[in-house]
Amino acid sequence: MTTHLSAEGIRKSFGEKTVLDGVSLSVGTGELMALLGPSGCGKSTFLRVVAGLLPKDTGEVRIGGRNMENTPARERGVGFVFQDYALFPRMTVLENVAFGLRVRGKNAPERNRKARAIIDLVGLSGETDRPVDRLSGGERQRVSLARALAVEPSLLLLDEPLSALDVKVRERLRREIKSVQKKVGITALIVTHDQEEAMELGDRIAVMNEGRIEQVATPREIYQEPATEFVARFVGEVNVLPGQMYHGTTYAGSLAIRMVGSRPPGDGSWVKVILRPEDISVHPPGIAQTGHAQATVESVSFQGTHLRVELKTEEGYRLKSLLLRSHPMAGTIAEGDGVRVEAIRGSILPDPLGKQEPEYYL
Amino acid sequence: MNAGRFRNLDALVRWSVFAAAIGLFLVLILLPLVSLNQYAVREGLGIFWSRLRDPGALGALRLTAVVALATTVVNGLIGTAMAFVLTRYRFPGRRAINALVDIPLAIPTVVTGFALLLLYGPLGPFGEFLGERNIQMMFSFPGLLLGHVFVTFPFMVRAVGAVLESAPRSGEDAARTLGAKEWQVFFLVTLPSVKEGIVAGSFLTFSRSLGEFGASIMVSGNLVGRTQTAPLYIFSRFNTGDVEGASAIAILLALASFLILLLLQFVQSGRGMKEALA
Repeated sequence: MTTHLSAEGIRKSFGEKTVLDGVSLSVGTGELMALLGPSGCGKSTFLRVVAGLLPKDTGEVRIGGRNMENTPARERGVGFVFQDYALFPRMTVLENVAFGLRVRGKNAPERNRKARAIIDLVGLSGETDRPVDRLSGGERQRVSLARALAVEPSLLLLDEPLSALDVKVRERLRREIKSVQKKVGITALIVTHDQEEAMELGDRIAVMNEGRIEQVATPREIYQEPATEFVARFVGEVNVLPGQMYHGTTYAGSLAIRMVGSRPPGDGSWVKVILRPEDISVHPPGIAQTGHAQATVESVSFQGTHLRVELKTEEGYRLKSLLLRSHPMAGTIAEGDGVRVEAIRGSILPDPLGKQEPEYYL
Repeated sequence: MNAGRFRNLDALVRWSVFAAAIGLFLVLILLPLVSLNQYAVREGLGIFWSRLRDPGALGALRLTAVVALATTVVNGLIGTAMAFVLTRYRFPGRRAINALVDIPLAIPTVVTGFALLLLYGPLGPFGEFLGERNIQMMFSFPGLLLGHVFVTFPFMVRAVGAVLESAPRSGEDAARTLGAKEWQVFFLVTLPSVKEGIVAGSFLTFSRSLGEFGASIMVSGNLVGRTQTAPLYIFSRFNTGDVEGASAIAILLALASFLILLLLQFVQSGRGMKEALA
């Protein structure tokens, strides 16, 4: 896959506050990259820098191999979809979508023909001549998408396009955005703080925190092998335990961890063990088994499709576990029960604390 | 029992507040306006019409309209520009200038007129300079315009500024990414978005200018048929004992202001109405 967008070492400060602290990111041609992070992490700022709407302090933005250093926003060939739609009020759907072609001096028949084709693509053919003030939020965002695509940009940037919408509309539009993006074959970068959205939309996800990118990987890798504790905690729920290597196996207390990735550090060194709640399996106590740990149930809460169980192992580690309702123990498990715990799979992070056992996990 | 009494007391208080507010409004605001009619039509409508057709009156009305219109145009341009500078630019002293914009509202208009007289009058520094070039600012139309522009300056700045501050700027960014040049962004996106502010500011400026008295009397010299605006005409007529003449113009002026107010309300709710209809 060739790279279409590449950003190298982007820095941006507002006064004293550093918002982008050396961000580098490459997006392949035709790829849909999700830029995921908590609010205030700098992801929208990064998007605006790429679009040329905000000057950066240092770094380099290349689109299609061209350095964008002295290229203003209007010449970058970038489509931008805003969180607040940013439609032109008092204009119709058609006028909004044709705006880009109009300012580029295309004549009316040509721009209307082109705009209508894009309006069809986003499923708004029936609304062509309606003023945008009278559309629903979901419809407005489709107009915004159509407007951005009408000028045939080489790169589509979407800044939290769905976060102002209702849950139902959001989920439908999410799928439509992805299908339109694939149909047009455009390279896209979508900013979101919603991990579910990032997982569903992104061919790859870049996780951002405090002005830095912590990991760029496929949704599956991000979830199963987070590169940092921040990523682990931001994407889904997680148990973080201190672990140690013995003869090639990692143990958190007496709990043996089956590793997803590779990267085994040396014997005896301390690591952080990352366990997803659904990867912790609960069995009736019975006979002790190597690699399993004995634990006590501290709380059980019913959450519809599953139960959320909090456990405390005999070594004192607290664990969150998810039990599907179909689990044999789901009907009976209760606070105070003794259970046997098994870690189905997990991943590790090298622990910056080295050989010292970190007590703060207890 | 007790609760019932309290409820009655509550109702009494509420009723008194209501009666006091409406009563005071009627006496303080509406009654004086109604009394305008008293003299104008006492001798019959014929007198009313003849007073209106007096050349002095017609001249004063025409001048008032022209000054108000010119003031609105001038402040429409510089007030809008000022609003942009204050909301979009960041420069040292911005807050101070922003606060000073409202000064014409705080200063007595007579003081304003006096100050302009000192500056542009025959003995003032500007006046002397201009006088040597045969340009007379005071006691003429330009002086009148200068006074009115000063007095009404804040209206346009504030009306446009409020719209600029509340309107999201993403529309402008959207236009940029779509390939619009800066002048296209301004004329196609920014200016239409502040249209309402400009309209509201124009109405306020125009109606304020119609009634301007203090600065006008200082800078105009009150020359009948040349620099006498309608409010000055009313004052002069009254001073010479022609109450009917003063009343005729006063009614017309009050009516004009009332119509402008109605029009402004109509324009401002017009958008909402259009949305509701379709």
